[in-house]
Amino acid sequence: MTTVPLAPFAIEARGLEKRFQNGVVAVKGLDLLISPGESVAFLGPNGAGKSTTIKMLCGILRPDKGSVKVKGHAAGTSLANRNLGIVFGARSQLFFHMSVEQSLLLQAETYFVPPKDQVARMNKLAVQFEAKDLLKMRVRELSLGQRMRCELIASLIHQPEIILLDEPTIGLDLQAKHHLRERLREWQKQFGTTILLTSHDISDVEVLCDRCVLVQAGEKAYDGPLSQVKGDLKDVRRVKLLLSRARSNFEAEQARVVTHFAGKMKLSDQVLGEFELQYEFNLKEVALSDVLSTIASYFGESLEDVHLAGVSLEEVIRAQMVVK
Amino acid sequence: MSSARYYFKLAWFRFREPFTDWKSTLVGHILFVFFVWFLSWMWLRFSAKNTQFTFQTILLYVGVTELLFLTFLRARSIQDGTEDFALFLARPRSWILRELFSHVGIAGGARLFYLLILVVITPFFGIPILPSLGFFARTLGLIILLAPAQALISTLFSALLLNFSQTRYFILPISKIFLSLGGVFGPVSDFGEPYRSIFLNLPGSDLFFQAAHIAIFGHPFEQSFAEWFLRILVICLGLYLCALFFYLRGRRRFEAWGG
Repeated sequence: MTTVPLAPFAIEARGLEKRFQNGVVAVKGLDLLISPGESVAFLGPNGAGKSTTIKMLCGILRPDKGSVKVKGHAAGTSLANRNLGIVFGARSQLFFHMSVEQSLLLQAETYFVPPKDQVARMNKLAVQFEAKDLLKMRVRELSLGQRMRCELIASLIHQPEIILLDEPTIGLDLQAKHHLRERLREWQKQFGTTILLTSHDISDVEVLCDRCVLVQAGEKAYDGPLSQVKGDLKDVRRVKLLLSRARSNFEAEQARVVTHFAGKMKLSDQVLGEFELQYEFNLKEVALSDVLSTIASYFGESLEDVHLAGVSLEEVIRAQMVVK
Repeated sequence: MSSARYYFKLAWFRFREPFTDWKSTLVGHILFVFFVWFLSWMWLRFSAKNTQFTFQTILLYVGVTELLFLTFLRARSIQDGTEDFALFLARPRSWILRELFSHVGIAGGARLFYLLILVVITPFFGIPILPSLGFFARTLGLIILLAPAQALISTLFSALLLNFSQTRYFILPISKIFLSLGGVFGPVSDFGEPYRSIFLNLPGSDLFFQAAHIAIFGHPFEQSFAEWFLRILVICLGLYLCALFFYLRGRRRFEAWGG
């Protein structure tokens, strides 16, 4: 007799479809299978169907077609929701007039954390998220960064197997964003938690996720490793030059470089500073050493600085969306 | 067991919420004293010839009806329940029970606070404390007994708000109508029959007028305690079924626009 694992997927959505009453079809036959421990970015432009899908995963919306299971339980049921930790960056799950501690303990009770474990879990998380000093403060007295740390504690206090993050760093400054991402990454490694993230901040995605699902107009446009989402663009490089002001035949020389590589290198159409130039080339076509030596020979001592970069994930995703 | 603990903890949590800021709570509730005095004075001023009640009895009557009314159908707490509706659906708890116990806690806290104010002010209006202890004890009992009914009315309005956003415009008028029919016309009963019987048999009368009558005289007006209690149970059942119907309808049609 063979035993079949009850829930091979943390999230199992098949053929999801959602049509709103005004006739808009927000999600069209979407399949989303996420294994336990995966970190998945769920990306797409506004109106692509990301939030609608997330809402169907956590039971806020009911699909018109298809099915959603969370740890093997139908989405929206009490058993499914117990496995979920949710952070909606724009919405709070804490009580503004009560202390953080009181709010967190009620949250623990909401998610069936045994009373004997509640305080210990809260304190442990408060240490981990550097929020120990905030526990006695009223929620309304917290800064946005402090509140988001407490929101995360509220979402993790029941040690959910899956965390749904919807714009978790929205409105935070750079340091607060960095702190939050690092703590989340640590948590994910420690407990093997499944993460599903939607964010317009690509740094969230780069730090937290290994897999990427792109959606557009309610359909999946890409589903695969984050490292491969760039596809052919992963070998594209841009070299940006800052030239000294003394240079007189600037335009002639920038064209000579392009000619030198016989069209395999092109001038970037990005708007740059007055004495800045940017070339774009593909490592498969042109050797990096060749590019650098050619630039050095053409521009010589007038070269003040050189910056080499790949195509950003944000650009790739934008390009994917346009192509689609 | 775990669920019961959660809902009672929630009610206690909401009960304590207003008292995190004592100054604001006190200022917010202090108008109660003015209303009680002013309405009692008005009653005596314009109905003195038609009533056999003393100023002290009227003050207690107005005090208990105001205590019930000022905590009845609070628009803010009704809207609170629908604002995080989407978020709550992602939790492993029942929204309708959450609403019910939240309203029990919110109204319970405010009512006890008003009762405390009433205890403090009555001696200043010539009402001795010791003979009034029975009144205060009965009022306290009624606050607890009527908490589910009060909470169910608010829950029904929250459920209606899920379906029809315009419901918010009707909260105040409906609460006024409830008070007028139950808390004022019932006891005045100057209209003669059949109006007096009609007013006395309206749910508002059970929740306000009869409650005040029990608090002051120790028994309901022209009915037994059991009969009144049965009527309250029927009202609660009706309210629960209506709230459940509108919750399920709202849940089915909920679209959660935006991110």
